[in-house]
Amino acid sequence: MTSNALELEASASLALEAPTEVASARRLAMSVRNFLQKHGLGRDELFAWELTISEAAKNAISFARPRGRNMAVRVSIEVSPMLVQAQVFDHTKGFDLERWPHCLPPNENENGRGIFLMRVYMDRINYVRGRGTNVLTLQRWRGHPHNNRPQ
Amino acid sequence: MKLKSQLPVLHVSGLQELSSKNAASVRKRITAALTGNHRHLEMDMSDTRFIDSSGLGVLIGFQEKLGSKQGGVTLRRPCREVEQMLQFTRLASYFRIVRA
Repeated sequence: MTSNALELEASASLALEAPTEVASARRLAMSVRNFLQKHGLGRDELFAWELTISEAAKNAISFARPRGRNMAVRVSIEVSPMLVQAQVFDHTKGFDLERWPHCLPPNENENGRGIFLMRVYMDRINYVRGRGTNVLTLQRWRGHPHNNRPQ
Repeated sequence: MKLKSQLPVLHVSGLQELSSKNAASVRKRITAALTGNHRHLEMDMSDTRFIDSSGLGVLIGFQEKLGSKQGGVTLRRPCREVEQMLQFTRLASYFRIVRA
């Protein structure tokens, strides 16, 4: 049996959906946190995932197109011994993650830190715009110090 | 959330999280409690286990408002995760942080 096969056998997944309304962002994030806690993630990892899913779901809800507001926000997450990967499906007009600034806004700005925080707390994020539905993929290795944190 | 006025300080405590879930209501309650004689907002963060960018926005708004009166926001006893997040966002020196 290959190591990949072993990893697949030990993985677990969760699929969630919630109405496109403000309160859903935290509900989704708490569900993800509880799921990951049952699978043995540590305190820092749990905070990282709770924060990142909160930010991603909040964006999906806040920027949903009028038609998208009647559709659910979906989150799927898969945990394996080495990696946690999540996908957040949104119905916004989307944005170009590659061109999104990596820098922080000035301290006095109240907004503009959500994507920055996702980049800091995740090892990899990717965003694909589709027809009507966009997908944000988030990955974080387990038990590895990751290198995205600002110096 | 509990509010206690001791001029020129408004003390806030008992906040379990400061996030998109409650940012608007927390902002509204604190704004209503702040008078022209308050110059400092002291947030007891010992019960606050989660904060997100919306919560940061609320704290920044009050820091700007009170900073113009030579006051500001003090974050007392933040948990490790919250303090780390403040460091990542380079806001750890923007607010006054008291660990004891």
